[in-house]
Amino acid sequence: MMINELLNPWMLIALTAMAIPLIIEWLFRRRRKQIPFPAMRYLMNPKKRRRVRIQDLILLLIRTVVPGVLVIALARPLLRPEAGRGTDQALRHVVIVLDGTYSMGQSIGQTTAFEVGKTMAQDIVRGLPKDTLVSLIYLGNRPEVLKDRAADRDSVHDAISRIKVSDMSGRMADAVEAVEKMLAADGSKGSAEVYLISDLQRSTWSATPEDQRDPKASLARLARQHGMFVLDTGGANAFNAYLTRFEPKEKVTAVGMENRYEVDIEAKNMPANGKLWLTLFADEDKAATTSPAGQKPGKLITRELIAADLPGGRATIVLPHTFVEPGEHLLRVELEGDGLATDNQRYYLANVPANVEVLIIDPKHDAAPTADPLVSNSGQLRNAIAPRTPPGFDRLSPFAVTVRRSDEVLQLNLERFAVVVMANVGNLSDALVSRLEQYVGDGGNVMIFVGDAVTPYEYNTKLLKSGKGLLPCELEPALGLMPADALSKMKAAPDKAAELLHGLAYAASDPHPAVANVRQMTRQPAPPSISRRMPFKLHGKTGELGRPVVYLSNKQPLACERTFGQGKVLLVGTSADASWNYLVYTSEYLVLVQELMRWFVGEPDRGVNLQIGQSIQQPVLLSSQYLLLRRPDFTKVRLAPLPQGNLWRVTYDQTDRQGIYEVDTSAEVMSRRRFAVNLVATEGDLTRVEPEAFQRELDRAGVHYWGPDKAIRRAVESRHSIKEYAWLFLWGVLGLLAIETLLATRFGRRRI
Amino acid sequence: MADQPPDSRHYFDPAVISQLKGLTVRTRRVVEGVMLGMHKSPFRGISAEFAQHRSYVPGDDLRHLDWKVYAKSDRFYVKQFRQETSLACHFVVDTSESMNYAGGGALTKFDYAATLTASFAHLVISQQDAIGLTLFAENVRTTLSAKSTFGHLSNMIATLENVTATGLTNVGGSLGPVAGYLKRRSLVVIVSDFLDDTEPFSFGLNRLRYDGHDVIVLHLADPHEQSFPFTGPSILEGHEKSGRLVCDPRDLREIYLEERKTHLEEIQSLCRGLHYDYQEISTAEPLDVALATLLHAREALTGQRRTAFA
Repeated sequence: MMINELLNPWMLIALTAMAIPLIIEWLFRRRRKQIPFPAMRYLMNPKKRRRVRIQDLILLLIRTVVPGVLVIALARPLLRPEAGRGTDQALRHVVIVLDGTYSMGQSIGQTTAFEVGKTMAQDIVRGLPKDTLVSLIYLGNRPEVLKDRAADRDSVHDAISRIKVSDMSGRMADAVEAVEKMLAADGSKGSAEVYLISDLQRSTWSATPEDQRDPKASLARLARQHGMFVLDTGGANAFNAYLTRFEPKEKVTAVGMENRYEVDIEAKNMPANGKLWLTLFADEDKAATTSPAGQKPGKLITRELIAADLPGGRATIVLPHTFVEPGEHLLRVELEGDGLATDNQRYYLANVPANVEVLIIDPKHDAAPTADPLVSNSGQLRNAIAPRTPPGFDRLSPFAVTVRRSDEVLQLNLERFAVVVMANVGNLSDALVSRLEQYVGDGGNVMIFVGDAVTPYEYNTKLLKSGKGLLPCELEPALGLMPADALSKMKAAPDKAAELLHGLAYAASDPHPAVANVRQMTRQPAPPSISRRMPFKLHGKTGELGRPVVYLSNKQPLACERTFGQGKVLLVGTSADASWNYLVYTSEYLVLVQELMRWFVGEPDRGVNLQIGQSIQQPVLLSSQYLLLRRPDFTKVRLAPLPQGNLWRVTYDQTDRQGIYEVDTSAEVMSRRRFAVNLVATEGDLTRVEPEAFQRELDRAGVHYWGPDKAIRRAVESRHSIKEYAWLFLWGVLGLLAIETLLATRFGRRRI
Repeated sequence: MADQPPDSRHYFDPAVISQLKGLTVRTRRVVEGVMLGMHKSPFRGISAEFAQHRSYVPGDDLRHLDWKVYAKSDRFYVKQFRQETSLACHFVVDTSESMNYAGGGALTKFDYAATLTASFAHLVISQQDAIGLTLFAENVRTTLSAKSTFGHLSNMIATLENVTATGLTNVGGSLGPVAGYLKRRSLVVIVSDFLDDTEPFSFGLNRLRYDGHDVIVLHLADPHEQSFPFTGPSILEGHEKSGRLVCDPRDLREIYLEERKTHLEEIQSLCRGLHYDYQEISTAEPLDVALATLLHAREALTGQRRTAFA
C-alpha cells in the first residue's frame, strides 16, 4: 500500500501538535514540588532508574506519535488505485466490450445472459471514477463502437440500457481487433482497461477452420500494456433446440390446396426427458375476425416432441396447412422448451392465389359449354394442368386453366397468367409473337407444344429469330408416324418397336431441375408412347441455344428450354394432345406437366423469404422518391429506388434482425411489400469453452477472469477508486491510546 | 521536625514509664557488671541476686539495708546478694542528617530515637544497670561511658538534647569504635534509620559479636519512608548529599519499596544470623508500644519477665 495523496494536506500544519506532549512534559517538570527525603538510596539503583527512564521515553514517544497519527487521519490520506491513472496528457480509458451475439439470449435463471451482461457493464461504469473515458463496443455480427471515449457516464448508461441482443452470430476475434485498433489510436498515453463481457460460447471464441484467429492470443498481446478482463455471464451448456428451415414442400400453391410445411429442428444437449413444443401460427398480424371461409388467424397446430423424435439431435417435422383465403399469408413456427428463445422461431410469407392461372392458346378451342375439350389440341393438357378434384378431397393442383384461341389472346392481359401454353398454334401473327415476347421478357413463361399446325419454317423464322427470339432451339421437320400407324406397324414388326415408339428419359446425372422429381414420383416409367415428334437443333450459329429438359428413350431431346428476358420458354417436340403420341394417356404425362408447370412458376415467395444478411430486393412498379421500410425493431429506414436497366428497384442490405420487414407503400408501387428475415442458427450449439482450461489460458496470458458471481462494481471501484484511509489512522490512534494506557498501567504510571 | 527541642521530661513520659515498669531487660549471655539486678552472672558482687541477711556493720552501704526487716525487728540487717554482673546497656544512636526527618510522624526520627533511648535507658537504670551512649553520624560524635546512676541518665538526656542531627550516616564505621570502647560485655542498642550500606554495618555487628556483646537493632523509619506516599510532579531532595531526583514519585514507588524491602531483608538477615534482635519501628508508633514490643520480644528470648512491669 502506498499512500500518495492527502485530501487535506493543509492539516499537516497540525503536526506541531506532536510537540504538545513534550510541552506538557516540560511544564510538568517545571511545576514539581520540592520534597526533602532522606531515603534516596532506595531510588538510586542505576539499572532500575534506567528502566524507569526507558519506560518514560516509550510513553512519551507514544504520546508524541498519537497527535501525529491523528493529524494524518484528519489530513485524509488517499491510496493510489491499482489501475493506471492515465497520464497528465490523457485521462484513464476503459473499454467495455459486450457480446451481443444471439447466444446471449439464452436463459440464465429468470433472466438472460445478455441482461446479465448489461448489468455487468452498468456495474463497471458505476464503479469507475468520474474522470474516466469510457468506450462501449457491441459485438453483434460485427463489432460496433457505440461509445468512443465518452466522458459522460450517463450517456454510456443510456447506451447500454438501449442495446438489445443481436439475431446474428459474431466472432470475438473481431471485437478484440476492434479494441486493438481503438487502443492503438490512444498511442502510448497511459494504459487502458478492457472488459470483455461474454457467455464464452465456443462458436464465438474458438478458432474454426474458416477463421483461425484465436482471441486469447490477441488478449495476451493487449495484456502486456493494458489491464484485460474477461467477464463470464455464466450459462452451463444449456439445452438448446433451434429451427434451421421452415418452408413449404410445394412452392406453388393455391387456395384449397393442402401444403406441407417442413420444419427442420436441431437440438443440442437435449436431456433424455426433455420436451419441445412446436407450434404453427398463421396470420397473427391479421385481426381476429373469422374469415368468410371460417379460418381464424393465430395458432394452428402444436406438436410435442421428445428426445426420441430427434434421433441424432435432428428431425424434420411436417405441418400441413390449407389456406382458404387468397392473399399473402404470414406463417410462423415457434419452438418452446429450451434455453434460448432467439433461434426458436421462423417466418414464412406465402402468397397464396386463388388459382395459379395458366392460359392455353388452342386454335381449336370451342368455348361452347357443350364442346368436347378432348377434341381440341389441349383437352388432355388442360386436365393434366388442372385435374378435377374429387369431392371431399383437397385440391390436387393449384392451377386453373383458361383456353383461348389465338385471335382472342391479344385482348387478354397476359400478366395474370403464370404460364402461357401454345398448343399446336400455327399461323403466328406478328402481334401475337410480339405480345408473347413482351410477356416472357417481363417474366412470363411460355410452353410450346408442336403439332400438325406447326411449321418449322414459320417457327424458326418468327419465334427463333436466329437465336434472338423465344424459341429455345431450331425446329426440324417432324419425324415418325402417327400413333395409330405406329402401333399397327409395331404389331406387324415388333422388333422395330423401339424405332416406332419412344418413351421418356431424363438425364441420369444432373437432370434438369424441372424434371428432377418426375422419375421419383412416377416410380415406373411410362411405356413408350411417343411416335411422332419434331427434332431440335440445339446448336445454332451463335452457339448453344436451349437446354434439353426431357429426352426420348433414343436419347434425342424431346423438350428444351431457354430463358428469354425475365421469363422462360419450354419447347416440347410433340403434341399436347394424342395426335402425335399416347403420352397424354399416361400418368407420367400428368406428373410431367405438373412438374413443368411448377418449374415455370418457380418459387414465387423466394424473394420475400430471406435470411439475416441477405438483401431485400424488389422492383418498384411506380416511381417513388422514397419508400419507408419498417424493421422488426420498430425502427424505420428510408429506401430510395434505384434504376436497374428498364426497371426501378429498392435494395436493403441491413437485415440484421429476424422478423418482418415491411415497406410502407401500396400494391401499385410494389407487388410484394413484406419480407420475412430468418435467423441463421450458427450459434445453436451453446457449448461453452471449457471453463477451467480457459481460465488457465487467460491466467497465463495475464488476463483476469471474473466469473458470474464476482461483485463487479466493488471490484472495479477497488481498482479505480482512490481509497481513503483516514479510518485506519483513526483506529491507529485508538490503538496507540490503548497501548499507552496498558503500558502506563503496567509501568505503574496510571493509577486507577 | 519538632519546633522546640523536646523537654527532657518527654523522655520520661509517665505513660511510657508506667507501661515499662515490670519489664526487665534480659540478655542471653552472662554480662559482667556490678549492678544489682535480675541478670545472672558468673561473678558475685553487689548487684547480685539476694542470698541472705547479715547484721549491719558500720560502713555497709545503707542502700542495701533491708528496711522491711528493720520495721519488723528493729534491727539493722544488710541484704547479701549473689554476685551478678551488672548490665551495661550502651545506646548507639544515629545522629545523622537523615534522622532529622519527620514526614508522616509527629517526631523526627532523632526525637523519637532520643525519647526511645531515654525511656529505655531509664528502664535500664531502674534495673540498676549501667547505661552508656554513643552518638554517631559519619563517625562517633559523642560517647558516654556506661554508668548506672540516674545522674548519668540525666547527663545522657542532656547530651541527647544538645545534639543536632547532621552529617552522613555511617553505622558500620561507627560500630567499630563503639566495640573498641566497650570494656565489658554489654547490651548494645543501636538506634538508627540504617540508611547506609549493609556491609560495613555487618562488619561492625560481627565485631560486637566477637566481643560478646548483645545487640538490639532498632530500625527507625518514618511512615513516609515506609510507604513512600508522595504523588505528583516532585523534586526529591535527598539528605546527606544523597542526590536530587526529579520524578513523579508514583512512578518510582514500586522500585523504592522493592529496594527498601531488599535492604531491610539484608539487615534482618544479618541480625538473624548473629542472633540479634531486630525491630523496625515506625516513628508513628507509640513509644510504649515500641518499648513493650521490644522488651516482650527480649523476654521471649530470655524466658523471664522483669518485675519492673509488676
